[in-house]
Amino acid sequence: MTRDAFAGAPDALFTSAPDRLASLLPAISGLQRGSTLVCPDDQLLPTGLAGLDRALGGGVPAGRLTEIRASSGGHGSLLVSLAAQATSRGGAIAWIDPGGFLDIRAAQRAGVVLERVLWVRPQGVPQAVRAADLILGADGFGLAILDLASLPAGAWRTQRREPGFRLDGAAWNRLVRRAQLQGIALIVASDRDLVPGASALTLRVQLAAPTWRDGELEGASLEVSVLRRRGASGGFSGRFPLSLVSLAPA
Amino acid sequence: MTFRHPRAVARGNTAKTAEGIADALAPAGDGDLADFDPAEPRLADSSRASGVAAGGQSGEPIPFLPGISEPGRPASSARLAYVEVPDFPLAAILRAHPELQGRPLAIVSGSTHAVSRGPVAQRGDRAEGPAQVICASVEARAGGIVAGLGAARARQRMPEIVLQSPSPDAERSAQAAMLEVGFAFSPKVEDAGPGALYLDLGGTSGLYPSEAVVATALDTTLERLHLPCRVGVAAGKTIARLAAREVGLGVKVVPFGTERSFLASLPLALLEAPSQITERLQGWGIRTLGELSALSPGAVARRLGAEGMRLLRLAAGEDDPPFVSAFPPPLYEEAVSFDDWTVSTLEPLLVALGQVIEPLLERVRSAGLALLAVTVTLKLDPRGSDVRQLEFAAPLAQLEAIMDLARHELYLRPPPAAVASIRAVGIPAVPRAVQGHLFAPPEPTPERLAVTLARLHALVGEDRVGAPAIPADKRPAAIASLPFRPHPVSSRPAPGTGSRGGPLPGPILVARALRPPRVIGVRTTGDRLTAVLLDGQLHPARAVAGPFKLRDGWWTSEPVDREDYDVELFDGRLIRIYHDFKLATWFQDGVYG
Repeated sequence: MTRDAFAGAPDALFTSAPDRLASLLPAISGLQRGSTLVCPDDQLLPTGLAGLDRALGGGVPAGRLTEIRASSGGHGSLLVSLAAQATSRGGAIAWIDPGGFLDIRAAQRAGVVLERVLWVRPQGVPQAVRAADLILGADGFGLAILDLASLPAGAWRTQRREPGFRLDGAAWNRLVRRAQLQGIALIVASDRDLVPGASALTLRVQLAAPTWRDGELEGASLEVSVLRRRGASGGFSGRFPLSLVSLAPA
Repeated sequence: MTFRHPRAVARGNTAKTAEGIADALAPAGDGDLADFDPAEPRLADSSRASGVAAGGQSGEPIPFLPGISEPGRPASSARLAYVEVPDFPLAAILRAHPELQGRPLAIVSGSTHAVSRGPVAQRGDRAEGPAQVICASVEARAGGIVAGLGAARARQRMPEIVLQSPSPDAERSAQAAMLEVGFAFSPKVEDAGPGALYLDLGGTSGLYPSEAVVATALDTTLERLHLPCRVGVAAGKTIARLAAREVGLGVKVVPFGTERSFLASLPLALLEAPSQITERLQGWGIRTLGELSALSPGAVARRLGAEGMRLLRLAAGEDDPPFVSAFPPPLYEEAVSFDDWTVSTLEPLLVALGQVIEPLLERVRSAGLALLAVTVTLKLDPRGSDVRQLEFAAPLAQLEAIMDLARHELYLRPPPAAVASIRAVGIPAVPRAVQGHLFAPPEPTPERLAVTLARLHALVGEDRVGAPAIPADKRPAAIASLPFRPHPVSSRPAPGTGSRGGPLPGPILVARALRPPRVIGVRTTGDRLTAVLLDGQLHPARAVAGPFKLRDGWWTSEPVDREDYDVELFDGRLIRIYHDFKLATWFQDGVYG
């Protein structure tokens, strides 16, 4: 509508309009100022650990590979936290879980929207990597988790039985390229140095200092160190409290 | 049913009516034709044409004939479209075998036997004997192949010609496709036999600006299904049919009120009368329908019998059987058979399957739908069948995606024997429109997601792909999953809103489930658990929480009766163990982290 449409109207009508509208805003459900809208940052996915997110500038990078090294646990809680953050924003995620480690009830209580999780349980590492390759070729996933940590030795031995499969740098580079094309944050959790040079971010996590109260496990701490962050200097190390999800059924 | 001539009723001349009927029904004799004067009926008709006044002047009663109305006056004012695919057997085969497009092809009838000649001969080349050409493609007609020509002669004239017998499967599929197109335009459709249908256009004026637009849309839609057709629109079945046949391929609309003039100029050949009668009429100098309808019905009945009366009615634009609407086709089905050969390797089978799925998908798409599943029945050689159910995670409308899934299915489980024919039945569904929220992350595209899921099924197994769900079993490591079908968010989700709609809890300590649980040993001192035997090593416990009793399913054959413990070991590990009372065994089913 142009001002000409109000020819003859007093100027006060225009000068006071924003203020009057602003006074109406609280009364109108769902209406808010454009300046207050927060556009989600497509480039970074928060981990749910506030201090770590601050250190990383917002979270783990989309379209890149983030490696989580866990020699003594802790990665499961971080993965669930990432999944909760991604699905709570309305995104779909893929969780490739050759070990079948996902605790469904705990994930739900952590805030993961289960219907937005594509849970794939391959048999062995080669299948897991191939499944990741397929998922990274599809669009619409915001996060893909490849959980290769704590796998039994048999899961790795299947690799030798598949002559056409090699989990080498070329294979990781292919996954990274696909993640980049689709803008998917690819998270690889492992207990060994799997992706040399392919990751944009490498975190080391460790579970520490369980806390007990009145004879019951109350929680623990998650120690996170940034081992490598492409394009940034300076490391980070922090400890984040984790509270326990009750074993009692919901 | 009683047929009453409107003018006869107007005159109230019932006395002569019975005589007129007897006159009309009298068998025609050859001797009568010798002294037949074509001028006589015209004179009679000129008196008829002048209506009641003319009849009254001549004093001659106009016979009360069954089903004869004033020429060119339609029996009803309902606007009907007649859709016809010329040379339907040929069109159906070209639709089922698009690779034959552009090649000289003739459909032959009669007792046939296969003659191997050239690469296409395997497809069921027919030749020699009394087989005759029914219809031929444009390319074949250019080489002098015409209907009625013997198959051997056709081969002589054009050695490269492909001769093929009619395919009932292909014709059935093509007819079903035509009906579906018809029902997409009008709820009232009549199946008018192979390659033809009528549509009642009543009520379409609100959807289309004119009848010509409807007819053109029909024509275009069928053309897209590889069924080139002609469409006639008029008030009544006969006039619509004649209008369609007047144009070779395309559209002809006869405006209301112009039927008489339209019919009058049409050539006699359009009635497709028996050749003997056509020759007689031509011998009398009758060349057009206008001239035919001007004949005296009584005279025509006497000389040409019932067939002559039928032609007279048609020339007057009358409908023989009334319009009867059919029911919509219940399913989408396409089939192809390989006649004298079979397919024993996967790639040619996939090509043939694509030729079945493609027209099926076109039909579904023309109804504004997509395919949710396809049941493919492979008829095996020499007997038996192999049925495959292709189910998609979302309705698919892309041929490539469906064929991708079919390829995976067939490569995973190839047919046990050579395939003699393929039949595909599609289950249609309304396509899922994904309207993502402006501020929400993008959703997986249904088509690509369906393909990805199918590939994952093929890779890891269907039971290992899905969305996790809360199991009814209360054991922590129990598993349940549902098909992965993420619903698009309807509103912008507030960041930090969890699965239950409330705010996300802070970072929590979760256990990683061990499936299946590992058998372990424990050491106890009194009631107190002091150490855990893991992997053959005894690990002293630093702290223990529990027991947490879990009893469930006591009414089933597999009741759960166990006590769970959280244990911190001195090496820093936090594990979840339980004692199964039924098995009297200790297990580890999780590790925190």
